[in-house]
Amino acid sequence: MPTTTAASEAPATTFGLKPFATPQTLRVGLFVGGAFSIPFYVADKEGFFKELNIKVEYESFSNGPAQMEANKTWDISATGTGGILSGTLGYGVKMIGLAEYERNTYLFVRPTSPLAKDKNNPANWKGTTWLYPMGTTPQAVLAEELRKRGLTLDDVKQVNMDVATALTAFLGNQGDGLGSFNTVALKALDAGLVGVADFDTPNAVMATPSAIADKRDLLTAAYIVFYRTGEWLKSSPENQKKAAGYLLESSLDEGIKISADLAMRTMQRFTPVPLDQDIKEMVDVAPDSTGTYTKRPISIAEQSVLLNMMNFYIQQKKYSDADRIRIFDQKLIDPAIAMDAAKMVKDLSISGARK
Amino acid sequence: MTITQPLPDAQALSKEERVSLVQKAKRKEKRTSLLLSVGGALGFISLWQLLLVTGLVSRRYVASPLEIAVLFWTKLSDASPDGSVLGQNILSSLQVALTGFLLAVVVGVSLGLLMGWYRGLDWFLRPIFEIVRPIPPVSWIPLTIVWFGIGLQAKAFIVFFSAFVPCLINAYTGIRQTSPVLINVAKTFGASNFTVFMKVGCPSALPMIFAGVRVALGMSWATLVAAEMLAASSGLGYMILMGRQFARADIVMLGIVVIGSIGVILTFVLGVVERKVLGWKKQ
Repeated sequence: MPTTTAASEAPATTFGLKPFATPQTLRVGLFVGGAFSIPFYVADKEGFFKELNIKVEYESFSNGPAQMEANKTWDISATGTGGILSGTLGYGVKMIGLAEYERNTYLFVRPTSPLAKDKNNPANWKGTTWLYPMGTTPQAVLAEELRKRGLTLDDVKQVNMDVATALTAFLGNQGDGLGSFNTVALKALDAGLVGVADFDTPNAVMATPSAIADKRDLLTAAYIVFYRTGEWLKSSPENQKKAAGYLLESSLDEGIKISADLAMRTMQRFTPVPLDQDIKEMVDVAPDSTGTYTKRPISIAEQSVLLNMMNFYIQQKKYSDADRIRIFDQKLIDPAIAMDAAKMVKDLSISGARK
Repeated sequence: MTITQPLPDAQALSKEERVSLVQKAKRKEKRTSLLLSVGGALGFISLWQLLLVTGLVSRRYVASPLEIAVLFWTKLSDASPDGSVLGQNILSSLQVALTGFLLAVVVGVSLGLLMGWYRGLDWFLRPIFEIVRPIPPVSWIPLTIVWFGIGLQAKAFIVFFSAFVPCLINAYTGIRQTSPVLINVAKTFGASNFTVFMKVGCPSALPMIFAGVRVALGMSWATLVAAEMLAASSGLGYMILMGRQFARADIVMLGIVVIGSIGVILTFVLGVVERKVLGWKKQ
């Protein structure tokens, strides 16, 4: 049983959780090169999982849809927008929390590009060739930028490439624009490219249906540790520096070449959702003011993902309104783990890290 | 195929009757093979549909043959989710695969014949070929971008590498197996080394060359998905990748079925060409 204790008898674990009586194995689908996944790694390296008798095993990914496709190999993960939609719709993976509202620069051009001088002129966008992994956030951002100027994706040429390869090709003078994210986006800025579109996108914590059914206590503990670690690494410059070191380590381990400076800047931009805020956004509900879904009140998390973000994909015919309704109907954005966590936090009166 | 009914005593039949009997047996064999082939394909499709209908296999991961048939029809005019209709994807893939394949046939067969015939060239090129031969085509992708960019050339280059090796090896082996008797006869009649190469060596290598080309065709079509992973905005491999990105198992399976079907058609066309070119051998 998961394992928490009242404050008066709380053990000396970092977040006030009581260790599991028997060793547990948590399988994490780690999105490498992205800050939103790093609390798992930091918690492991700092011993936050170990003190709860939880052993962590990793499967690493650099692309959300591929991460979701391999959902049989992990219990919990953090992913970007492409992963949230392909995971819920394609594989029945559930979103159990919001990891971060990421403000990232997604679209880049060369300094000599007409877009670098005037991005508001639709003529400068029309007919351009863009390199990025389709189905991921940059595509949604490009669609939105084009929409603002009365254009659609049909007015540009899109070439599907993974982010690292796209950067290599773009620096080799291929294409007119580059779509990127995470540390690769910062590398693009370092290479002197000019950002033309910033955007807030939700990243999420996902769990597989089998883990929710069979490892619920473990998932609840992991959920709390994830969010509390996010708070921990932002609580002091020393912790943030440590986290940057772990980001560098995990990226290099997976062959993503970044510098210590780049890792530090990534961590500085990282704004993890605190535990209390996530519980509120997952659990609190209100009627949908847009009238898109009227069968029941919806949560803030559902609104962020299914009304704001998913609109881009539906406009581009990548997903349909029926897909959106399916996510609502099947409650694939599931507050169950957040509710369990809320109860545990309340029962134990645990708040924040002890150190 | 065995003929089950005993043939009447051949001696008792006229020539016309014997010809008619053999033709009848051949027609029967053709019908039986056709029936078995169609039956095998239909049986496979029925089993596939049955597994889904009975719920033994989840529809979340596998689309049914019926759904694929409907999607095929829809995709002829609907560009979502990958942005291209099926016809555009097929044409785009054919362009990539056939460009790489034809280049591989021209370069691989020519080089194989020359290496097989001229010892000096063989000694000179063989070490390089032996190094290049085991390299998987996809491992060229990072360098390909630097060398050729992200257009047709780059993708065709990846396909070229998968098809080049069987073309070269078979042409080389084919010409090396040329009968010494034929070579000596040609030489006795005063033919030059080049004439013997052209008029004896090359024709006698043709059956092996066609076997290599057949393998190369299959490999170039099979490398398509890898080539379109490099960079693409349309194509069947690209369509499969987009199906993966948007978790559309039906799009992935349609791509697989279309790639398989076109592969069969291309192999059939090559078979027709082979029969025309190698007709003399049968005689």
